[in-house]
Amino acid sequence: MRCEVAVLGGGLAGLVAAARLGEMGVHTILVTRGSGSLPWQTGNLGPGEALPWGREHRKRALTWWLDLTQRLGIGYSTGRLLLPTARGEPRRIIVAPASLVGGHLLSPDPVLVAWPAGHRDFLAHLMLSKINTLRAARDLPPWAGRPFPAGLRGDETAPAIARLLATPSAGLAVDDFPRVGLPAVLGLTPREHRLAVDAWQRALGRPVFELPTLPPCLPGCRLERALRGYLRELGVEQLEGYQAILDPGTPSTAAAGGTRVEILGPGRSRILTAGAVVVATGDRLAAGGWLTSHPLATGDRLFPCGSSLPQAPSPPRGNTFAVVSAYLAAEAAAARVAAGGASPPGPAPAQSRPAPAESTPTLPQAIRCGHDCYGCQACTAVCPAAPAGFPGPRAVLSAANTGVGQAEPRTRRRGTPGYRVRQAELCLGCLQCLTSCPASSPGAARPARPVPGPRERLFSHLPLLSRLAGALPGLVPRAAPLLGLDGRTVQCLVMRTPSGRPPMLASHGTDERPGAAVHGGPGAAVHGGLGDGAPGAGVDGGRNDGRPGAAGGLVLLAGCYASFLDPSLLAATRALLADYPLRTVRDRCCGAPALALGHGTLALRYARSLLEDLLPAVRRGWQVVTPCPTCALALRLEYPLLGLPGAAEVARATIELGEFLRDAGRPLVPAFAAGEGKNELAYHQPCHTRAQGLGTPWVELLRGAGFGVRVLEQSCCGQAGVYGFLRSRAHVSGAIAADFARRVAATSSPVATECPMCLLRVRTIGATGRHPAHLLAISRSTGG
Amino acid sequence: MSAVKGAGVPGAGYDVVVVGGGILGLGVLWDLSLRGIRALLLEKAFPGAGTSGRFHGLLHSGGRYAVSDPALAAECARENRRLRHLAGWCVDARWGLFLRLPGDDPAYEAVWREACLRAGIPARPLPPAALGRLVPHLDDVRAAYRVPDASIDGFSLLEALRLDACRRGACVLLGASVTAMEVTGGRISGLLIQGPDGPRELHPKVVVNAAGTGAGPLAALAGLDLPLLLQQGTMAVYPGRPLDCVLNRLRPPADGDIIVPSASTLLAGTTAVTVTGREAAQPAPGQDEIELVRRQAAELLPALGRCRVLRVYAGVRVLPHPVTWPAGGSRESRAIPRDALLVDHSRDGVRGLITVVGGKFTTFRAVAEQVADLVVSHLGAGTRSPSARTALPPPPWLHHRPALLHPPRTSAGGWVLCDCERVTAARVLAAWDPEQGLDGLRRRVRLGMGVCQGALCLPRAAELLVGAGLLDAGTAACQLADCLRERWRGLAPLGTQGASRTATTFFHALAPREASTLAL
Repeated sequence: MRCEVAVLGGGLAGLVAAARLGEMGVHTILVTRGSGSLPWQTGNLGPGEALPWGREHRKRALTWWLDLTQRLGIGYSTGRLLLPTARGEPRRIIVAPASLVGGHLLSPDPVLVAWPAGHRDFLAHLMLSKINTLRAARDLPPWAGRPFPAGLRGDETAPAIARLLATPSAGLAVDDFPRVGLPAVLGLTPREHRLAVDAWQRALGRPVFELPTLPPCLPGCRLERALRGYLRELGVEQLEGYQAILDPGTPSTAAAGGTRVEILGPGRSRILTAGAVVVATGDRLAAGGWLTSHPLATGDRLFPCGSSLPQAPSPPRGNTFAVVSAYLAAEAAAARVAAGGASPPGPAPAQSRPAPAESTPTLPQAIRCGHDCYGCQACTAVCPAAPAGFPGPRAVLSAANTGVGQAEPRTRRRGTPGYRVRQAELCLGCLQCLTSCPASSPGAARPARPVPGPRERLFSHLPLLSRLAGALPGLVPRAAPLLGLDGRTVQCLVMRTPSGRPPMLASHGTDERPGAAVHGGPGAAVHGGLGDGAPGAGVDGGRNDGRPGAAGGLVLLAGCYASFLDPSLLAATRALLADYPLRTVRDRCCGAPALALGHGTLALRYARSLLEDLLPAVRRGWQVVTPCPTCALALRLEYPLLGLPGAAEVARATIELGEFLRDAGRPLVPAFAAGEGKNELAYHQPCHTRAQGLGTPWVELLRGAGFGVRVLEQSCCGQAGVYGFLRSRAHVSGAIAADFARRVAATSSPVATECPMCLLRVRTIGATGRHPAHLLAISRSTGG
Repeated sequence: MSAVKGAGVPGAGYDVVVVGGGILGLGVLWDLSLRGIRALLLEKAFPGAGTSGRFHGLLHSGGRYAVSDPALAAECARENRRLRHLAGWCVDARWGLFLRLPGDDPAYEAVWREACLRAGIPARPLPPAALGRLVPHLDDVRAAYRVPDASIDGFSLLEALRLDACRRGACVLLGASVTAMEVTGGRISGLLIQGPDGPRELHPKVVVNAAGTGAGPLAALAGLDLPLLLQQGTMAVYPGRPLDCVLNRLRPPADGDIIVPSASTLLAGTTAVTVTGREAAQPAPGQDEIELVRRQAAELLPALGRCRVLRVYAGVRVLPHPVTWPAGGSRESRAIPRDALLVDHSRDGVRGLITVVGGKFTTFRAVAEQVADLVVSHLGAGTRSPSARTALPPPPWLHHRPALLHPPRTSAGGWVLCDCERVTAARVLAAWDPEQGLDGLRRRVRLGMGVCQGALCLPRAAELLVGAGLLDAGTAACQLADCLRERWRGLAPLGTQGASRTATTFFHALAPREASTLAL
């Protein structure tokens, strides 16, 4: 992968730098290991931080910041404010989100603080006591406090309370207080926040403001979401969830025009070459002593900002510092890229001096960090199931207490902290927690597996069920209610796919002509046919099969969807891979659904059998390509965790189709002239693509093929394998899907996404959904 | 309950005063109360504020001392069995392993087996296959033996001793220290103490000095010279609990060769660094000690090499000073005898003062029995101790333990207040003791000992107590700041390096302002 500027770090500084670079039209990739500090703080900007830059730079950066936040809908305003922290400590603030400004502790009027009774993260009593002591000392009228009943149990997650407080409580008497303060859980996204605040203000007839809670602090989460959404709009690609190792730039790579960043994704690492790198990894790098020997003044390609700056004031470094330094670093990096070989003209910190390198610490030591939960709650803030009753990954994880390294959850015989919390089975397995986890080891953020019930056990046999449904077409609609399937979502199983047949019924398309499936695409021409092996035939050969020992061949792992539900996808994939020696593995389940449903033994059986098929080819140097992100994730992330022999080898060799095509770097022929109306697409990034830290390779491919692609806001479709079919999970799935449906409905264009389950969901809600491989195959056939 | 809280303590009426609320002091108090002797215990901070609250929580099987000190090993083995029987509720991980790693001397193994056999320690060799099944995380192990080592919840045991002793008529006065000791006619005639409610004079017949690191200064008050050797041991806490057994290295006792699971964490330790009395008052782990413990722990359990350290802490062993050793003792620090030092100061011309220091946590009952025997002989009443046969009831809040697994949602307070240790609000309320404050909750239900180090659960608990009217907001804020500062003490030595960075930032966001100015 290449880009002009790589930004490392997903805290405030990293996001700001990426946003500024994106605005300037620089091709930027943001690499983050997880959430920065934003879920822990309100995103206020404080004064008094020693900024080594001139006043005009600071003013320029802050003006830009105010303008940006206005555009993002979380408008910041300025003022000399004294705002409380979650514990009521007063803090001086100069720039704060509009929703928090009302909490100015020195305002003359009395205020009513109202909170839902039983909200464990809102420290109302402590806060009010501190605030009133402060106000009494200044002869200001005290603030009053009043809980209102909200039916809270006590340990609801912040997103769940946010959902609850979206509708104002009717039982709250506000007397004649001119303003009302509420816990800062009014909406998880800027949009929800606006709606919630409006609703409260209408209901109470007076302005409301927010007071901070313990982490996850939703104003900070809101800011993070807004900034990440903005990056998506700007076309800044985001590689999330894995640590990166920065090559400081040996002369050879510098001459080759880039700094190498190695991203330690699951299975294998990927190399990103960037013209310049903005380092915003906090003090991880600085602590290793490494950055001090590479300051800005040396004029190389590294632009540290925020706490990564060796000249930064000692911790804690505030948000003002992060915003200003990131803004300036972004401009310097952009100038560096524009100037080519010249040194950056951007404003360097006045005190920047190359510190003498006492030793040369190895980079990996400097940047790598531990493997365990920090208790930061970032995962809870991003968990799509958390607003709907799931106790949150952190709660489940701590209960599971998997502990050190990458140990699998074990069952302890008896004794102290237990293993399951109630409703642990509501975990979707989307792994958004993994991408948000600042520790981000697969063992760290992984919630415990649920214990499967009889239904879960049954649904773990996905290939068997698909086969059965194919043989007895009437079975699915009739059996659905008996099996506890959700009646609405199961509709998608019998809906018609683009191949023109109901997906379940198309499971064994022995008479299926792939040519028809891809609308006369080249797949048929190149590959002849799908191979009409009997059901269950493990491996069928493509045309170029049978070259044992040949390196560089591909094993195409079709996955359940392409095998059973939509064979035309298989044809399209094969068409895209026409130039490579190809073997196809179909009718094989990767075991991910069984694993997600907690049926571990079956998952192991599937995994072993699949590994047996793949290993010989992998040992010959072949790569495994799959159009299904869940299969790729299972092979790269789950199998090594299961400790299966050969899993690491296969993980190294596994590559998702989009990633493969992008990295293959074959020029794509634009199928459409720009501006043609019919080529507009909305792209949804599936959770499992995100969880592999892949970024959005398909977007690049589709854009290269001439499609106009708009990336949809990050969300989960709520389907998650068979999760969405189970009636016991229908309330969670439905709540998540409603949000997803809103986003999809807002776009009139067809939705492209590579995850079969997301596709099913898209079709269930009545929109057109296509796998990008289909679209590419079509574009090739029509335009090529 | 008034006796438990130490309210309304009469100035007189207690024949025996025990100074020091560690395991020895409380053990002696309990033993005396079992014999029907009413005693008063003075503790200057809280139970377990010294070494008894800062050890690794290992209930020795005796294996560690089988070669170096067979008598202590045999006593450990005996007391281990007894404690499991009488107070089984405080035992957490119930077994342990001795592992010989590639670098260890194979000859020691045979010597050790022989010694274990003699000391009555059941050490069973484990074949590699069984070992792999029981503990899947080990790397290259040359030999493994299963022993009845265990981990123990020290704070709960201390509280249980206190509660049971108070129930039987003893009294515990927290926040009280001895300021002067009056010796007339070769015997102790009076004590001047500074109690929580002002100075007070006591006239006991016998004073037991079990003040741990403070034993020397206390003896000095009576004009006695008690030379003690203070040795600091550093321990590292790792988050998570991938094992259920204690790990020991099968080699002569050395630094950093024990790993002990404790609730949801693993403890690794320890070191031995001689410190002065001033340093012992607030033991602080040194960087080289932390590094040593981490390195050794990673050798024993390789997974720990990839794991961050949650916090570090140090405790101080009190050992008899070389001048009090029997002649011919080795001067190497690990070779100092580890059994308790019991001195009847009648020999120094002060009747009625008994000093007891050192010893292992495991053998506290046996030592306390000896001390109480001595006390009884001073008082002239010759009852035998029933402590070897008396079951110790758990403190009441431990009955809430089943709620760990499935908190009852319907009952009030069944919600989880601390996600790391799965503590429910109901448990917090049950364990609340205004005398010990928020910090007492940490010792009683492990609030703040988990992954978040109290950054989330301690404020929540404070809010809960204020909301319930059990604590006023101002005091709560002070106690919260104190607790967080204390938590910070264990995080600060780890610096901003590597993994602890997040915890650091986390604390900056939540902890009192002083945290940011502490040494970094």
